[in-house]
Amino acid sequence: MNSNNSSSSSKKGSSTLLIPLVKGTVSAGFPSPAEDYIELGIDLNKYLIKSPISTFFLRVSGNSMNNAGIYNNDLLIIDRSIKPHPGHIVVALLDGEFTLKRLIKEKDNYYLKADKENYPAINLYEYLDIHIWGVAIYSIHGLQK
Amino acid sequence: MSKAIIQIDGNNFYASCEKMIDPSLKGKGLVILSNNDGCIIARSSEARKMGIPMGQPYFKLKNKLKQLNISVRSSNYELYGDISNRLMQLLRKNCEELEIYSIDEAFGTIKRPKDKCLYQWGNSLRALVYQNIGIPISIGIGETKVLSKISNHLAKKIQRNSGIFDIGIVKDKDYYLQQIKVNKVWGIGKRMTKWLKDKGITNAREFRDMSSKQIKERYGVVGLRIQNELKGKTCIAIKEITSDRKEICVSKSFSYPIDSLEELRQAVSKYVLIASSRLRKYNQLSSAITVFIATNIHSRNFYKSEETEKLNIATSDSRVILEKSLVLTKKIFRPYKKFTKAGVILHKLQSNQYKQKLLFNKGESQEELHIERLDNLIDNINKKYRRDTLGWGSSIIEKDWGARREKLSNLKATSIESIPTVYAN
Repeated sequence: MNSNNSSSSSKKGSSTLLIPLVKGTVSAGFPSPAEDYIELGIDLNKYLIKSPISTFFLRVSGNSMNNAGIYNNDLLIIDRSIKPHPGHIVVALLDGEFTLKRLIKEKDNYYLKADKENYPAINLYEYLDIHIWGVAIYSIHGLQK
Repeated sequence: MSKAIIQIDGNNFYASCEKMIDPSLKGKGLVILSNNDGCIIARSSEARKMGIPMGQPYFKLKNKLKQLNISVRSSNYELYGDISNRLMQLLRKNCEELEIYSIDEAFGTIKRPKDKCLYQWGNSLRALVYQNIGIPISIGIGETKVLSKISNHLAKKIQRNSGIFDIGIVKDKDYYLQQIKVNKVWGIGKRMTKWLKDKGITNAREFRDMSSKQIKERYGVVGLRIQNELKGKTCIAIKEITSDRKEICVSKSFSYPIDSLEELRQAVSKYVLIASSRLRKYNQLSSAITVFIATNIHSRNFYKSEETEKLNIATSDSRVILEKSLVLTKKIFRPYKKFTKAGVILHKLQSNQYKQKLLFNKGESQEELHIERLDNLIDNINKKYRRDTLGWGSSIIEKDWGARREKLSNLKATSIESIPTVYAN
């Protein structure tokens, strides 16, 4: 420990406790054998987000994508840098709302479809106004209510 | 291979940010109001086409906006700042140098293969920005900063060019420069425009070709530089580091007039904290503080006052700056005046690295270091939670005199409570 930083004032009889400013550990007793192996911990941002510039979060409302593992109130991570491909779950701009659908391709036609039975597919050629806003990469689902 | 200067800006930037995050605004007219919902400071292209003017007071146009079904938003600087950050990071990756000029504007440089038009390069950058961030940009390319600015005007003006123009490959620029009014040339202000007009000079071509002696006599090197840049000679360099600013100003209008010293002190304290945290962010120190206050400029007894104090040692310590500022506030305060605006300016900024120590301030450095740590801690907490989570005593806010933002969309990508909803119905 660097004593200059910690106890210079005690010589003058002051009772002020100064906090050491140097980085390093105080060795009292045996040094921890794990000291050299300590890592910074898991950073979920790093793990989940490849492109921070193009990543946005959205809150899910509704259950039409339950079969895809996305539930009401989940936190959805969108990466706009990904080009939408068939099979991707995408956020589409439809009737002034963000809508969550799966992009599918059948016989050269592209459709947006909910992952639930009896939900009509939207043919992208019929709705020229549809705009795909981004591709969903993760959904964070809380397990405790 | 030569160097090309590019100038990039976001089209209707504030409006584009709002549209990017709020799907209900798609295809609709939109205007953004200034702080306090005072004036219209930005319009979407639809609102512009419907003839909504810039800078007009909101209350005057309220009915018209309603009739035209134009949406209105208070300025959401959290959102614009976030989108701006993303934009600048993306641009930095795609340019050799980058100078961030304002929230929605940047200059950059790229290599130009001999005489090759950079339209393709611009086109893919534009597509990349739209795909990643969802906002449209315009790109002007030229030999100098002034020419790249002009190129950007042309990019917006010439529809078929879809937001890109490269004046750098045009050998005879007369045709294009003639289309640019002299007041649109970067660096030429109102006064110079009038002076030029009196001499019969109205467009950029005429300015480029006028006698440089005349310009030098009246406007010195500064004026000459603009002319030379127009001729394609580089005079204004790209400044990559934006942190070597000479001053920081934090100033705001209140949502209602303040006439008590106590409330004024709260306001000034808050601005000091914002300004000094900015100082620390860029590792700078300030050695002079100005506080200014003003009543409504349109009121009959318009009153405005400011006071400056120099510091012996440059500092970024909130406590020191706060203490001085509050003394200054008391000095310039006048009872019975209804103040509508206050501000704090920190000047004579210098880098933290060359911190000057007074000869006789023994023993203080230890305490100084602790204060620095404390300030940084407060900054980090405020960054993590909300700007006002921690502050110093005098800045504690009882009344909400902060700016009025009644039409705030409250959508942003930077706080979990404010993210948009996606429907899976």
